[in-house]
Amino acid sequence: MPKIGLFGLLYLFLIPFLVFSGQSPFLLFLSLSLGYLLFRLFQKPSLSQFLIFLAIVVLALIILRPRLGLDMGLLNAINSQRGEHPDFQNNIISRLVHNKSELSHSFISNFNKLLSPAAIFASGFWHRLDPYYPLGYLFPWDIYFLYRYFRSAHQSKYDRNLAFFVPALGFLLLLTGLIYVDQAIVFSFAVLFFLAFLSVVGFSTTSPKTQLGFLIANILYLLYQLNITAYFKL
Amino acid sequence: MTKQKIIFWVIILVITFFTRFYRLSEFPPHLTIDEVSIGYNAFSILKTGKDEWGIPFPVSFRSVGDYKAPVLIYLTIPFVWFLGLNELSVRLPVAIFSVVNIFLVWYLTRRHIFDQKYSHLSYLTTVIFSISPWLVVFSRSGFEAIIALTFLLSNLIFLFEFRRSGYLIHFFFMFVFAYLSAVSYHSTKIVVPLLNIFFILTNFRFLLSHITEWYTRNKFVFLFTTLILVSVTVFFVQNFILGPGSSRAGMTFLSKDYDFTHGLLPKFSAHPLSSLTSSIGLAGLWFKRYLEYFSANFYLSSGLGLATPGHPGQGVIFAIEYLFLIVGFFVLLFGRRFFASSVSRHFVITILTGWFFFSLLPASITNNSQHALRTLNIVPVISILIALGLIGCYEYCRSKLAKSLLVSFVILGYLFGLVRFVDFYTLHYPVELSETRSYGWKQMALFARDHHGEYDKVYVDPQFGTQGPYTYGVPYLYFLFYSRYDPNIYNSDPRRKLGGSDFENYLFTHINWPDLDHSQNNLYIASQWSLPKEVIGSSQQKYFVPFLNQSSGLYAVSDR
Repeated sequence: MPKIGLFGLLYLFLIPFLVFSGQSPFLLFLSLSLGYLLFRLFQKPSLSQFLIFLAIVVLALIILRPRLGLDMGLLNAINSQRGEHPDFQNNIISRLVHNKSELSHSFISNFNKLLSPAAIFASGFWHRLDPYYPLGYLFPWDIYFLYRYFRSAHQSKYDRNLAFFVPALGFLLLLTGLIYVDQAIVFSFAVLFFLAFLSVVGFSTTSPKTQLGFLIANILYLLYQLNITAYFKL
Repeated sequence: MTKQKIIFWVIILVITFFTRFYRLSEFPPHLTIDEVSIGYNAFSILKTGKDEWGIPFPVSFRSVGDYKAPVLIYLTIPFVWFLGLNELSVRLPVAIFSVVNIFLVWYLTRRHIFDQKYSHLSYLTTVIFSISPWLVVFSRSGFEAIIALTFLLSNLIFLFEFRRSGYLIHFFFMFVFAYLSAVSYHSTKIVVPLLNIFFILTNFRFLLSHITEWYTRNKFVFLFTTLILVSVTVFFVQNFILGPGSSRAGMTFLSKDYDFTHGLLPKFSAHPLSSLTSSIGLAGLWFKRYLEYFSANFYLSSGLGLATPGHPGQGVIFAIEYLFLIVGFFVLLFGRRFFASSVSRHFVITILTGWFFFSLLPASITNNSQHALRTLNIVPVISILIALGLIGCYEYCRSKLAKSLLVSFVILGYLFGLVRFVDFYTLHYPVELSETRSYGWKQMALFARDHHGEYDKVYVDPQFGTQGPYTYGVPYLYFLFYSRYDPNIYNSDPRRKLGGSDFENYLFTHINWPDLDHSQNNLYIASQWSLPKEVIGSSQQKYFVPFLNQSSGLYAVSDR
C-alpha cells in the first residue's frame, strides 16, 4: 500500500466531486467503498476483496433498480440508416453495417458524459449545475499527478497481477455506459475515486513544498467555485 | 528493392488510387463554398492576375470575408489552366498532395522515428495513414489543411535531418517549410511555430553551438541566410499574424463561441469581478474543448460528422484502432525501444509528444468543439501511435495461437471499418448532409446560366433551409464558377467595387416577395420560405432541385 501522508489525505478530502456531487451520503459511501476496493485490487489481488466488491455492486443495483440507458431516438436513427428510410432501402451494405452493434453509440454517449477526460477534469458537473459551466470532477492538475503516478509505477518495474482488478474495473465501466446516466453516477464515481487515489499517490511523490503549494491552490480553486456557483445559483 | 517492398508499394498505389482519385468529381457530389471560392479565385488570377475583388496577386484572399490562405489557390492555377474550371481541377491538387503526404510519412518514420530493428513499423504506419478516414475525407475535397500537412511533414523531416547533421542547409529548409506550412492553413500558423520553438528550446545548446560554428566557418553565407530568414519572418508576421490574414483568427476565436457568448458571459457579466470570472470561465471552456479531443465519441462515432447530427456516424479513426491508439499512447510515454537512436530516443519521443499535444491547440482555441479539419495535423502521430499499439499488443501475445487470433481480429475489424466508412461516405453523407454541403446551387447556377437572358432580373436568395431560412449561403460564387464568368468584367463592375456581389442581371439578396416589382419578368431562386405557396408547383415554377434527403430544396420561379 503506497504512503500518502497527511497532505495526501487533505488532498483527498478536497476533491471537487466530493464537494459538488449532490449524491445522497449512502450512495456516495457505496461509490467510495467501490473505488477504494478497486484501488486495493489494483495494488494486490485478493479474492475476499473482490467478493466484497461484487456484493457492493449487487447491493447498489438492488437499490438503484437501474434502467437501460438506451435512447429510443437512437434506435429510430439506426433503423433509418438500416433501411427504413426510403433512400436507403435498396442498400445491402446499410443492412449489414447498421445492426445492433450500433447501439454501442449509446454506450459511448453515456460514458462520455461521466468518464471522458473532459468530464473528469473540466466539465463533468454540467448536468448538475449548468449546461455551460466548466467544472470537472477532479482538479485540472490531477492529470499531472496521474502522469507522475504512472511514470513512477513504470520505473519501479513492479509486475502487477491485475487478475481481479481488470474484471472489477470492467464491471464499473460497463455499468457506467449501460444504464441511465443519473443512476450510473454511483459507478462512475467509484472510478473517479480510484483515479483520485492514484492522483494522490502521484501527488505524494512531489516535494513537501510542492504539496503545500498545490493544497493551497486546491483550497483557492474550491472557494472560487463555491463562490461562483452560489452567486449564480447554478 | 525486395519482393515485400514491391508488394507494399503496389498495395499503397491501389489504396491511393481508390481513396484519392477514383470518381473524384462525383464523391462528394457537390463542391463546398470553399472549393468554389478557391476555384474561382484561381481562375481569376489566371485570367487577370487579380483575385475576385480585383487585388493583384494577394497574399491573403478576401473572398467571402474569411481571408483564405493563399497557397492552395496559387497551386490550383495550373490545374485550372490545363483542365478548365471544374470539380476535377479544384480537387486534384489536394488529392495529389495527399499522396505526397503518404510518401513523406513513410520517409519520416523509416528514417527518423523508428529504430532500424523495427523498420516494419514505418510500413505499418504508412498503411494506417493511407487508409485513415480522417485523411480520405479531406483529401477528396479542396481543403488547404492537406497541403499544410505536406509542408509540416517536410518541416519535420528537415528538423530531424538538422538535428542529425547540424548542417545550415537543413536548418534553412526546416524554416522554409515551416513558413510554407504556416501560410497554407490557419491552424498551422499556431502548430508549426510552436513545434519549431519547442524544438529550439529543447535543443538550445545544440543550436547555439552550431550557430557559432556556422559563423566562424563562413560569415557571408551565415549572414546572408540570417537576412533571408529574418526578412521572411517579418513578411510572415506583417501579413499573416498582424495583417488581413489575422482577421480569420478574430472571427473564429473561442471568445466568439456560442457556449461562451450565450452560456457563460451573460452570467459572468453580472458578477462584481466580471473581468476576472469571465477570463477564468474562458480558460475553463478552452480546457474543456481541449480535453474533448480525448473523448471516445470523437474517434468512434461523431468526429467526421458524415451523418445527421445526433445519429450514429463515422469517427475519425476505425473502431478497431481505438484500443491500439490508447495502448500506443502508453508505449509512446513509457516504451523507448521502438524509437530511432540516431539522435536519441528521448529526442524522438519529445518531438512526437510535442507534435501530438500542439496539434490539438488551434482547434481548441477556436469556436466549435471537436473539429476534425482543424486537427488534421495530428493524423501522422495518430497513425504512429496505432502502429505502436498494434505491435505492442502483438509482442504481448506469447503463443502463436494468440498472435494469429489478434491478427485475424485486426484484419476483420479493418474490413468492417472500411465497409462502414464507405457506406457512410458514399451513401449517408451525400444524402443526409446535402443541405449543409450546399447541394443544389450547382444545378441552379447551370439552369440560370442557360436561361438568365430570358428574364429582366434574376434574384437569388442566400437564406435557405428545411425547417426555416436559418442557413445563410454564399451562392454568388456558384453562379460565377459554373458560368465561368469573366473575372475581368466581374471585378471591374462598379457594384463589386462598392462591396456587392451582383453581376449582369443577377441580384444576390434576401427576397421579400411583396416588396418586389412583379410587373417585370424576373426569375427568383430561393427556398420555399421566400416564395408564396401558390407559385410553388404552379406554371410559374421553372425548376426545382430537391435536397438529396428529399426534405426540401431550391426553387426557381418566374413572374410569368
